[in-house]
Order: sequence, then C-alpha cells, then structure tokens
Amino acid sequence: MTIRTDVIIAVVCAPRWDLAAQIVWRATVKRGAEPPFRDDAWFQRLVQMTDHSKSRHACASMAEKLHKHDDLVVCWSLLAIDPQDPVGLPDLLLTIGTAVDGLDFHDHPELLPRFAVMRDVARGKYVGEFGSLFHLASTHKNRKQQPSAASEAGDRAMTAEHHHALQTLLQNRWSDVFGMLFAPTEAFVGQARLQPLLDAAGDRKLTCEKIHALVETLYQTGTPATGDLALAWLMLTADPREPGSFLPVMPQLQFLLDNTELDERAEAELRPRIHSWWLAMEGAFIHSDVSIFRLADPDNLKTFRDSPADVDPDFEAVPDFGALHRNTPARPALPVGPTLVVMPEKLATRLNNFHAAFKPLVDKAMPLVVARDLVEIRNTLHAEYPHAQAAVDLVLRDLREGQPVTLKPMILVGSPGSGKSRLVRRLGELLKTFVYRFDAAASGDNHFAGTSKAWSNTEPSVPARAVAQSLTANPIVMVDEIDKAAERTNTGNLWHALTPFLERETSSRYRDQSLDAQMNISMLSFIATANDDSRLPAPLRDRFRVVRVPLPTAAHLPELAALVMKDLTTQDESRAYDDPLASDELDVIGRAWARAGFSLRKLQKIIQATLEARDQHAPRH
Amino acid sequence: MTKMKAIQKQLQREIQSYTRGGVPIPLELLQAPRIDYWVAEVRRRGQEFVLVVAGDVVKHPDMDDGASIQTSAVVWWDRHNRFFRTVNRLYVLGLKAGITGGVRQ
Repeated sequence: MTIRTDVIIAVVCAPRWDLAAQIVWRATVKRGAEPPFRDDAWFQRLVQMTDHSKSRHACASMAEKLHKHDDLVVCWSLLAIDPQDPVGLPDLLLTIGTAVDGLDFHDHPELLPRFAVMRDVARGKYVGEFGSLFHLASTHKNRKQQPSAASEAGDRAMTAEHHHALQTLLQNRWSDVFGMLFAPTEAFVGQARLQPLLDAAGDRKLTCEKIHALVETLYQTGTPATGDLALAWLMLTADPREPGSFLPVMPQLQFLLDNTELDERAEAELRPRIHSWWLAMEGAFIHSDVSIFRLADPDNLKTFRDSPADVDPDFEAVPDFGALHRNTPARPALPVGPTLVVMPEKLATRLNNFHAAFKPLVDKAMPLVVARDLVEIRNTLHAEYPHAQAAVDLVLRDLREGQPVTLKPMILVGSPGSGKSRLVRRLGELLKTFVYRFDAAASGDNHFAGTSKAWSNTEPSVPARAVAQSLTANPIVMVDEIDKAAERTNTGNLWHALTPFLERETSSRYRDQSLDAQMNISMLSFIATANDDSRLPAPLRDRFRVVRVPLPTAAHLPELAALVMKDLTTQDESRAYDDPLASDELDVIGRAWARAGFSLRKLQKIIQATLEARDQHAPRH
Repeated sequence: MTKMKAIQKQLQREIQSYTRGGVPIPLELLQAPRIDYWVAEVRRRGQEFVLVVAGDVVKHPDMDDGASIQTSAVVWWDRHNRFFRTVNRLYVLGLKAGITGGVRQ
C-alpha cells in the first residue's frame, strides 16, 4: 500500500502549526470530503482556538473520520500531537518514513532535519519547551542540519583530559573508574539515579544491568558530555571473559582516540592500553580472573614484586568484581593480585636433586590469598559453631577484607570433640587458603624445622613444604594436638623447633637449613590445637594467642543436630531424603549426648545410630 | 579532495549525533544496507586493530543482494545491536550468524 506524499511533505515542512493546518484543510476540501468537513467556519474556529488541547482533540477526531485517505489521516494526526506528551508520534513518524522512502530529498532540503527534530520530540527530548511540534522543528532544525560552528569548535577543543572515556582507559582499577565517573555523572542525573548502582555493589551481573540502565539515561540526556560519560560507563561492562561485551565499546573508543588531538605523552600512554583492550576483544584473556583495567595496566606484573623483608602492609584488593564471588582457585595463572617473593634467589644456594619441588619457588612472586566475604564467613562459622561464637570471632579478628590472609599464631584449646581441628579446616576452606596439617603427636624430635642439607635424605621445614605444596605465600600451618608432642629434648623437640616461626621478625628472614635459602614466611599462619595448654613451655605459650573452644551444651543440640544431619546427607546420598529428626528423637539423642560429655564426635555417632535404628524399624513394602 | 572532506565531515557529524544519544531516523535505517548472518571480527591493520563485520548483504549500493562481504572499519556500534556505522556507510544488522538457520559457522 502506498501513500500520497505531497501533502505529508508539505505538512512536515510547514514552519507553524496554523500553516500546517491550513495545508491539510485545503487538501481535505480538495479531496471532496463529506460536507460537514467542508465547513470553512469550522476551520476558522479551529485555528482561532486558544485552548490547544481542544484544537488537538478536534484534529484527532478529524483524522478518525477521514479513514479513506491515509495521507490525510497521518497529517491530521500529526496536528493532534502534543509535544509535551507525544503519544503515537513514533508510529506516525515510522509511517511517514516508509512513505517518503526512496524520494529525492534535494527538492525538500528541510524534510530530513525537521524529521530528525520530530524524532527527538517523540523521544521526549523537548519536554518542557514551549511551542507546537512544527514550531519546535523550525527552532531546532538548524542544529540537526549542521552543528553550529561554536559546538564544532567545542568538540575539537576537547582534549584527552576532558574525555571521560579516554581518562577511563588510563585507569588501572575497575573501582577507580567507578569512583572517577561517579561525581560527574551525579551532576547530570542526580544522586537518586545512581543509588541502584551503589546498592548493586558486589554483584557483577546486577551491576552491569544497572550500568546499562544508566547508560540509557545518559544517552537520553543527549549532550556530547553525557554521551562521553555513557561510553565510559559502558567500558566498565566490558568483561575479558565475554569478548562480545567489547562490541559497543571498541569501535567508538578507537574513533574517539583517533579523532582527539593528543600530545605525544598521551599517545604513548593510551595506544598500548587500547591495544590490550583489542586483544581482550579478540579473546586473548578469556580465562582471566581480573578486570580489563588490570590487564591493560602496563606494569601489572611488577606491581607487587617487593623486597621480601618489607611487605607493603596496605595491600590492595584484587579489583575484579567477578573474582570475588567465584571460587577462585588458589593458583591463579598470572600473579596479578598481591604477591610475595618467598625465596629470593640472591639469598639462596643451588638446590640439589631432593629439592626439585622447590625450584619453581626461587625468585618467583607467589600469590597471596586475599580474604574475601569475611562477613559471610563469620556468619557461616557462627552457624556451624553456635557454642563457640566468641572463639570464632577471636580467630577471625586479624583478618581484613581485601587483604592477604594472615593470622597471628594462635592455639585453640578445648576438650576432645569440641570441633577444634574441624574449625581450622573449615576456616581454610572458607578463606580458600591451603591448610597444611602437621600431627604433633607423631613428632618426637625437631623434624618440623627440617633436616640439614648435609644429610642425604634432607628434608625442608614444614612451612617451606606448605608453601611449595600450596604455591601460595600464605598457607595455614596447623599443628594438631601440640600438647601431645614428646617432651624429651635429646633429638630436639617440636616446641623448640616451632619458636622461630612464630615471631614476625625472625620468620621474615627464616633460613631453611635443608634448602640453605633465606625465606620470607612471615605471611604464613600458624594455628595449633591442644586439649590442655598447661603442659606447654611458657616461652611457646606466650607466643600464641590462646583461644578457648568450649564444649556445646544441651541448648545447642537442635542446631548442631541439624548440621550433623546435613553432613551425613552429603557423605551418604541414600540419606538425602531422610526425614528431619523428630522432637522425641532429639530428646533421646540429647540424653545420650549428655552422658557422652557433649563431644561433637559423639553427637555424630549418636545421630548416625539413631538413623540406622530408624532404618531398621522402617515399614517395608 | 573536497568530496573526501565532505564524507569525512558527514561521518564526524553522525558520530557526534550518536554520541548525543541519537540514532539514525527510520528512513535512514530503511535505506541502509542490511547484513545477515553477520560475524564481528577483530583484524590487525599494522600496529592498529579494527573491527570489521562479515556477512551477507542486501540493499548495498555497490553489491548484488546476497553477496558475502566484509565491511570496512566499524567506527560506531549500536549497544543494542541494531546498526553500525563504518567509515563509509551505515549498515543495519540482520540475523546474527549461528543463531538461526546456522548458515555460517
């Protein structure tokens, strides 16, 4: 179906509403419409109406009655548009666009710019501005046709310092960009509009969604400055693991870079970085755990290669949002988080064949596992240890969110079965930190500190082995049952061997006698467990923080029983559909448990026995 | 030379318009060539990188409908994957490769 275009073009090009109305009226009369609509008096009343909503209404009803003439319907509908509330305008413009498709516009130089303004009106750009649709088109068409000389000069004068997108390219951290863009964006959209973004912090997917919504708002504002901000925000959604997310960023960013006047220094800084961005779009960093800003940082590998003795206490968090919430393996491919050279080459002698496992450590920046989601970890442990919440808080006291995991030496003291060893294991799991368990009960000498390099079966110290096994600089060394170690001292003794590791001063310059190398093991955490700390020599006990883990009481039974049930179902799939313990069962369990002295191990056995008894008496079919 | 300059100016104007949040008017989109079964690819040009789009084109002024083409460097990509602008012209994005029909790998 084709529509006549002559009237439509004339109307779109009319400079004022009344002139447009006149054109449509004449065409309507000429087409021989029904008598009621040929009434000149009606038209005179229409153009003289002071209440625009009434005149619009009259035009709309005219459009309804003229359904036989499509082009006139379009024109009358156009007259009925309220620029403050342009309902129906997008559809009208689409119809007009289709109708005039393929025409030669040289005869109507005003058509396209006017059309563009009307499209902006449809998008609500001129809400609040005085005048009819046609008036707005006349006022703004020049801006659409050709940017005024002033604005063009303004665009050219924008150097790298003024472009948020180029400034964003220079940042090394995702969070820095976020902070940098916040204030200028606030100036345009207001604080309330940015609140959802703050609320979404921590959830990468949600944050991306909110940023996309913000980008739409910024583009709707429709100035070069907000468009520039929008591009900068879009850069925050680029994820090296999804090269497709770079699509709406890279072409415009490269164009911006190529068309901005830059001095040599800016060129030298920006070009290598955008190079990395393109590589990311090609999929070069598809397995990366860090943000593109980290990857584009030219010194991202050297940042943390400090001398071993003075570890920067103010470690920076790995900036990537995603890495926080995925189970990052303890061995990232690239040491991009905080790292520490545990075994500097210049302080080491040549390793012999027994030490093959330690060769990768020499002069290597070992990653430091960073503490994440401490609040969640605390809540989890509180739920698992309802009887020892104070102890849990004491254990977690040294940890800081976003900083490497390192705990002051501590000893967990409690009766058998209070869950000490399990607490250390769970702590390691939740912190994603390697736990090296050393059984003190089996130690009759000073083997903990390793054996001399002179022996043919020489063995490095336990902390050195923990570092080599975990390939991180801050594993946890757990000395289980430290009070069970042999007390005799003729072949050395565990307690004496332990002492040098527990002082930060000596542990940052510990010389392993087997490797014959100086090592910085100051970031390792030593946690010992004991049933009774009174046997420990005073010098050793002084170096430990003593954390008492109490036994649970009958009051904790429901919570603990539920946890034991959960443990049992994970161990044994056939238990997955077992009913929860009934109150009479709990009652019996509670009495049996009280007789067994409230040990967690005993509780597990009792519950297991209860479930087995239940199975035996279950009705069979 | 002046023609080159005019094309360059037109390009600058359009990019500025997109930066201000504008999109091509329906008419422009109707007249623009459309690329179906498209794949966006990063290509190296010397030291620099460019984004190009490969696919089957229709309504291209210099190509037969259905011809497989590779565009020149993309300078603006619409964030909703509706259109893109190369140095030379505006394209409308049609069907993405591998989503429906699977004509192209």
